[in-house]
Amino acid sequence: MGARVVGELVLRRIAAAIPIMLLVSIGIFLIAQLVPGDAAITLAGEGASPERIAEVRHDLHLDESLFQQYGRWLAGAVHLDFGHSLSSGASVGQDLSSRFPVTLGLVLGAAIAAILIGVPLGILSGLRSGGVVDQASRMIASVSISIPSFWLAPLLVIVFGVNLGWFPVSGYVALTDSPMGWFRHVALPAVSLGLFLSAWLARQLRSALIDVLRSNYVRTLLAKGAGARTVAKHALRNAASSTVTVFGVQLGVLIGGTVIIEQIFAVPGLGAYLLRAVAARDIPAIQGVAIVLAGCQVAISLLVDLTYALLNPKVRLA
Amino acid sequence: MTGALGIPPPTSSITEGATQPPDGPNAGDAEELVPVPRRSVWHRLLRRPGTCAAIIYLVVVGIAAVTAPLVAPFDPYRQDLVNTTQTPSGSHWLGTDSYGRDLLSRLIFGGRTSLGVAVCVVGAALLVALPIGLIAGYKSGRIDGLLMRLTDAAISIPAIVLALAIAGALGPGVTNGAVALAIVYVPSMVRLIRGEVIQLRQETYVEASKVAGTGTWRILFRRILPNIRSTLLVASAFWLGTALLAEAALSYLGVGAQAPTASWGNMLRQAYDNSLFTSAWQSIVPGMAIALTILAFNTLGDGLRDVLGMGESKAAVRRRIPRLRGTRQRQPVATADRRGVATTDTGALLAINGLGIAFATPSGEDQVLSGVSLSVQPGEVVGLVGESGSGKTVTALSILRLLPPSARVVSGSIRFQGTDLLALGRKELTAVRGAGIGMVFQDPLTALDPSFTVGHQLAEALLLHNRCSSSEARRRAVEMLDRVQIPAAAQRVHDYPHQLSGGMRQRVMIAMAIACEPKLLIADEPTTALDVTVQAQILDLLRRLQSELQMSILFVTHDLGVVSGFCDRVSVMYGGQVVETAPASDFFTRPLHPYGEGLITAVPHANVERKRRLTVIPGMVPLVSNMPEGCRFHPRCRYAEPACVAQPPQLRIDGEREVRCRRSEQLHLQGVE
Repeated sequence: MGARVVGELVLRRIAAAIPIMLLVSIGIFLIAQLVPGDAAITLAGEGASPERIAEVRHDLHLDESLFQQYGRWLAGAVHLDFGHSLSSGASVGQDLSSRFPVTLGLVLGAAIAAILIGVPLGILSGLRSGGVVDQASRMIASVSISIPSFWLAPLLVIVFGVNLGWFPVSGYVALTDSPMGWFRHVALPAVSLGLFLSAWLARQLRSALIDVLRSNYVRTLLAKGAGARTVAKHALRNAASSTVTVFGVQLGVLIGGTVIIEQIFAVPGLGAYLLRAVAARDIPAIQGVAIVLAGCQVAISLLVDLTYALLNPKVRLA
Repeated sequence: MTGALGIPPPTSSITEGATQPPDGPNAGDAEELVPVPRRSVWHRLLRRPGTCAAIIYLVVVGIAAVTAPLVAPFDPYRQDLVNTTQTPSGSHWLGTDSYGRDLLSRLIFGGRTSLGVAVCVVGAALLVALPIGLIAGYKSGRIDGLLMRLTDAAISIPAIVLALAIAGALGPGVTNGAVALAIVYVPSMVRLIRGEVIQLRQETYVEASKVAGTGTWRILFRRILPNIRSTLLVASAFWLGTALLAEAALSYLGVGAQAPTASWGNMLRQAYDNSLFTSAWQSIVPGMAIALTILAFNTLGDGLRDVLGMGESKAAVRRRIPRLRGTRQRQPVATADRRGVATTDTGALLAINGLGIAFATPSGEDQVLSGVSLSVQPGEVVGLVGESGSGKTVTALSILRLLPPSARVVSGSIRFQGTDLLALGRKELTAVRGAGIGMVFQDPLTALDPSFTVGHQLAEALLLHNRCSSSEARRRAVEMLDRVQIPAAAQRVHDYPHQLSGGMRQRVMIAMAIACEPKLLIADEPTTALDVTVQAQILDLLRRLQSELQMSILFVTHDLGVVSGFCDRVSVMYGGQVVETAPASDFFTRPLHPYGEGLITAVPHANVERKRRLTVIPGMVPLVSNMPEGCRFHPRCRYAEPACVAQPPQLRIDGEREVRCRRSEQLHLQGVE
């Protein structure tokens, strides 16, 4: 009976995502306007010939009105055509599509690492709050949240990559090419990237479990004669939805984190591409990466909302 | 804001007059109130060792950053190519980097950059976000809608990506990096502020200002801003930590501070590029500085949140309380509070004797029950009455040991069919819960698990006691719903609690409580949350089930009307004590305790002559933390004498009647015929 409601919810959420993506595209388009002075001169670089400047001006359509420029850019963006890179001259769209799966694979690995570390810790400390495991795990969590991934990553490289030699210290192998190779390459970046997320998961799950355990319906359960296992089952089911929400929000932060991690591990993904583009002030490339990553984040929050709805009878059967 | 927090708002130098709306704190439900001592925020922050360490650390680092040129032992830019990548020594406390520059000096100057940027970013973003957020939240409507769409969009771009893109367009540098970060922070700040304002907008004191014609900006800055101050304070601590991290990231990526200017981020980068594998120390120094500072900001934020009473505050209050788990291996103890113990009837189904319960509070312990004795005979319906705060719910919950962990049994015993429930182990206790004794709670809206169907929850009641197979249990769930007169039971078992009305949910609760046909049903104000017609139906249902199953009921209520039609005997509670116990009919015609009289004459009654006025007992139920000396009822008692104040009255037993009043034999109190 819930299937149609869920279907409607999907459509409603997709409909709500469209105007957001439009605004995002305007914002990202306007980034080019932040380039100080005459953008064409600045972007062509110092000592560029007038021809080169004119070429840049034409490439970025800086000779048209802002409105026309946006229309043109958006029409291209919809077809994943973001123009040509100012530094390499290659099609930004093609660069992005070859690099996107790499970043996706990294994010997947990091999310798995975060879940594998964070969920058990959160459950253990939430169900036995105040205990030894809880105190230890809360301490680990607050430290994990404080450690910058770009500090942790090289330390992991030294220990597990160089000294122990368990994992390769750079590069990437696609999951579809070789699952084992993917795992070996992604393990260290995924842990450095996912550690803070595991801490968020553990914290959220813990506090949700504590709230649930204090709720009236758990008291009802106890009055029925429920043992620890039954209580845990009910508590986890009810703590799940708020945890999924936090997971989704923090997954966006994690996507941002790929930028640094890809640089450290020489993973040829979108983040490394963005950094190169930023260093070269390659506006079309910057815009392309930004809008693709923003699209990912919007898609994630859509998925989170749907999961939330599936976990919540109140929303699902509304 | 305060409403959601559950604990009384703290008064303090920071929140004075802020978190406390003029219409006052929730006065007086002694059963739930956890008194929080009112000390200054500073005092309480510094009492937490972690927070205290964080504050000291931040102050030291902050002073070092501000006074860098004075305190740094060396010029951070002076290269010494002879003494490169040294480890700590007497002259260079933290060693030197790959250019022979003093690491400590660079760390201090780097802190100047990193902390400075973090403070400027959060400050500037807050200045922009504050008016926008206040207006969006206060005005709602079209402006709010537009602003929210904009922040939705801005938040959809991963923060570091947006910052990099902006910094990339502006060109590298400390200032451009800071501008980029500030732009990134604004939307999420607007969001938080708007959310807070929306909650406050409906508060009575804001409404009142509006009606009084106070201008918008005046309301925003005078009425609303002071009330979101603590939220902003807590959030700022976390924002500072993330801003520091973001600045470090930008500098690390070469977009923020440029060499030779030191920042913790670019120090880290330089260490990697030049000496990651040769001298790990180089990267440990700035890395530790970043991690410790973020940790300190987060710890400060957590501390502020707990102290100002936000978020996890309740858990925090509980954490501070020494855990007093007395109930588990507790032996019944005979102590001071057993004077006046009665009702040691051996034939009783349930016999509570001299029960004393104390709750741990941050300032010590409050005894909420003392010397409570009552009994329920097989097949009998006993009413436990009293105003809210008298201790009846605590008594009811203590029978199945459902009190929160902060509760401790001080004295007494609770015997069910002869065994002391307080002395049972976990296993034996769960065997009694639901099987020997069933319980129905006050609020049917929250007493059922929202994530499972009622059928599942009903079947579970049987399965927990291994009464039958799971397919059998599902079938019997339908019968149970039938038994409590829920129409279309076969379909209803598939419903979730939110799909049922309050009355229906209470029927489900009752069906669940009697699933295993318990000998005793404890009903804790089962009709209070329902409207009047539904109340009557639920009472009828209970009455019918009671006679069908021949079970006893302990009926907790503040409604004497219910008691008169339903109960065989009555126990009246006041201030954590049973003050009177009597057969119901005797109690109504001739109460022995002035409080009983007060309750009876406060009820509108058909038999009362028209001309007699309805009386109300003056005053309020005393707080557990502030019990009157002597007789606990004396401040409200119109028969009180000086002797009533001097000494607590003993429980007097006379046949079937018990009373805790030293004047009960002299007084001739009024009842109803």
